[in-house]
Amino acid sequence: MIVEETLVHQLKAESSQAKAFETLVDTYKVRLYWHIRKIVLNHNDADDVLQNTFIKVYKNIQNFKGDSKLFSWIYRIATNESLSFLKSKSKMLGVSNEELHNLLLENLESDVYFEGDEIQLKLQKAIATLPEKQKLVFNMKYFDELKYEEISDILGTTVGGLKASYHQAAKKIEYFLKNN
Amino acid sequence: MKKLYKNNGFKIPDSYFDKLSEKIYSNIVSDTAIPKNDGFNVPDNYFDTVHTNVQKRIHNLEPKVIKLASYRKKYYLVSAVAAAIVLFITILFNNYTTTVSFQDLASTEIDSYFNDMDLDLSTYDLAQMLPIDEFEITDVIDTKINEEQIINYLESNNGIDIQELYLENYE
Repeated sequence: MIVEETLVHQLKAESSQAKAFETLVDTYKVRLYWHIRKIVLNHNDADDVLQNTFIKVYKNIQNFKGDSKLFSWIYRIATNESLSFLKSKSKMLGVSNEELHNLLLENLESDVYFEGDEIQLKLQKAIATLPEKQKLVFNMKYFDELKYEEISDILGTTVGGLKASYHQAAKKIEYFLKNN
Repeated sequence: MKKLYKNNGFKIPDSYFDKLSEKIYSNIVSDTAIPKNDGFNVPDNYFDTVHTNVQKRIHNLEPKVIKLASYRKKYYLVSAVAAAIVLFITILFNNYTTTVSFQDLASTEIDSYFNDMDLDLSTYDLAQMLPIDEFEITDVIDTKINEEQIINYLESNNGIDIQELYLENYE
């Protein structure tokens, strides 16, 4: 595993950029894909957003100051890209954010790249009921298994606030699964 | 109250309280029936194609551009120095060589000169001094007005019938 600082240095230097970018994509593609997929739900959309994320990283790497970890920076870009994608999609379809989520869930049932059973589908429906922030925190903590400190770095929220969000999200999901 | 937990012989693991809330929350979640597997899937070999697809899009979106930043900086620097020298020389020599002609004066400046200076000349005095015979209409207005335009103007604006004028003059 390449050291992050070295990778950033190589990405900024023109001579080593191409090879370093390949390393970057290979290192983060799987984790980023699943992070994005949990937000946009559909595989084709996730693929689009993932590519957009890497293109944005490639274009803006010279502006990366190293104030946060490269991993956090990329995750933040992926999160923003996913949320922007959903916003533009709801605008394009002329529906609200909530209506779009319901639409995505309906499509999930017929999605060839979703093999979840009834409980897993119910779980996605439960997650869809959460406010945006809680949804992100729950996915990042529960499925991506990120540490609170890492999530804090990505979302710019305090660890205490994240713990409260996660706790509330877990309670709501638990309630939804028991009562639906 | 303080005595109860001061030197009472009990010990706790390092960072116990820092990790306590996280531990409790994770226990809460694991006790529920929330499945860890989310059921999402990806096409076969999808992740092998990600880098190639991203590279293709980068090359399609951005044709290779030769950076001119270093040349630009030098160009700006040289241009700035050259402009400063030219400006300095121009100001230096123009101070001694330029003479102001009468045409360079604005009419307002001439008016204010006559107003401010006590010339003691009335309009009548000025009219007397001006050599009227040497003036042409074109000295006052740029375009020459032909006779036909004058007749048209008089007829349309003053209701004067030119034919009547002729008749009056010949009577």
